[in-house]
Amino acid sequence: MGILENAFPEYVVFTQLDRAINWARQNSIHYLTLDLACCGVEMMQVAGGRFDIERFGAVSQVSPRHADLMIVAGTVSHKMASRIRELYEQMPHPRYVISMGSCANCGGLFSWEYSYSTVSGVDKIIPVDVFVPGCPPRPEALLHGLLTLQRRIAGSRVLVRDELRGVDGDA
Amino acid sequence: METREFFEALEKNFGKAIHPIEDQNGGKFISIGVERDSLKKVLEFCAADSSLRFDFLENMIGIDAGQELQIIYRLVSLSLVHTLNLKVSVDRHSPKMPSAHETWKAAIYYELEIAEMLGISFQGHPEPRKLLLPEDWQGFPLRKDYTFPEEYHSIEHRRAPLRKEHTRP
Repeated sequence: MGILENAFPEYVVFTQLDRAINWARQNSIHYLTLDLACCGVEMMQVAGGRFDIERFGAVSQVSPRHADLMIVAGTVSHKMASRIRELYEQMPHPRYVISMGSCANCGGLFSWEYSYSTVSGVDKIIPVDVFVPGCPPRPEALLHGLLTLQRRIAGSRVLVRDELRGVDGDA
Repeated sequence: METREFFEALEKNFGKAIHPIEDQNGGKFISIGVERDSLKKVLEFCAADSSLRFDFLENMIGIDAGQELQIIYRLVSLSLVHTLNLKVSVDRHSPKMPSAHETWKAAIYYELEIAEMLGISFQGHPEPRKLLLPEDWQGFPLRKDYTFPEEYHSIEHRRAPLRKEHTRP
């Protein structure tokens, strides 16, 4: 460390600011629950004692204004689509979306050939970070989806020049 | 009481306005056909008559039968323990029906669903609106000639098929 060596007491830790911010973000994910169908029951299991999503720092949140992550669990109908979009727009940056189950991924059982009222994939309304496959996925699969999202957050750049920023405000 | 006895009781009062409907499969006599114009009187009679006393509308079923639309009233008497099916045909091109909500309050929600799914308008319904579909939905989904929308509120209905390199062999 050269000139910094022994200049500070031992409880001072050096790191990159990016990594410190990402570390905080990935380990305190407050997720907005959107139980639209049977996937919602699997998502409730994840919050219970057996699977315990809180050991990864994720806590359920009822208000979209306090949430970082939206878990879309279930069938998205055309009537629900505008509501989901509205909830997503209320979430503060940075915001992430997990699409859980076949219905939210692509329409699944109720895909465009068989149903007039189902949106064929929630990614047609809002940007999705992680897709969790399954019908419905096991709670372990959702936990794996959360860990995938955490890895994704850990690899993101926070401090970038304005001209390099994406449209959504994220790097 | 059996359906044949109901038929005799109704025929005595309404004459040509009702006709028997034989079940196509078993040849059983399970439903009674009613002309649309005298439907309201028949329903009121079924609810009020002391030997029929149908105090509960168990279900209302709307059917697209191709040439015409049909509605089945499934009546139940909880006090006398018997049931009856009444079948009414509706014109496909000008589907209008009297509302049954004055006789049984349960008809309000059944009629809302039939109205949005089959496009039958119920005259005198207290609160005509969409029940399950969005307010601005076009078309009647349970009709046989219904075609799925291409897009709704600029959300494309179809999803592009997976490219070949993304599918498993």
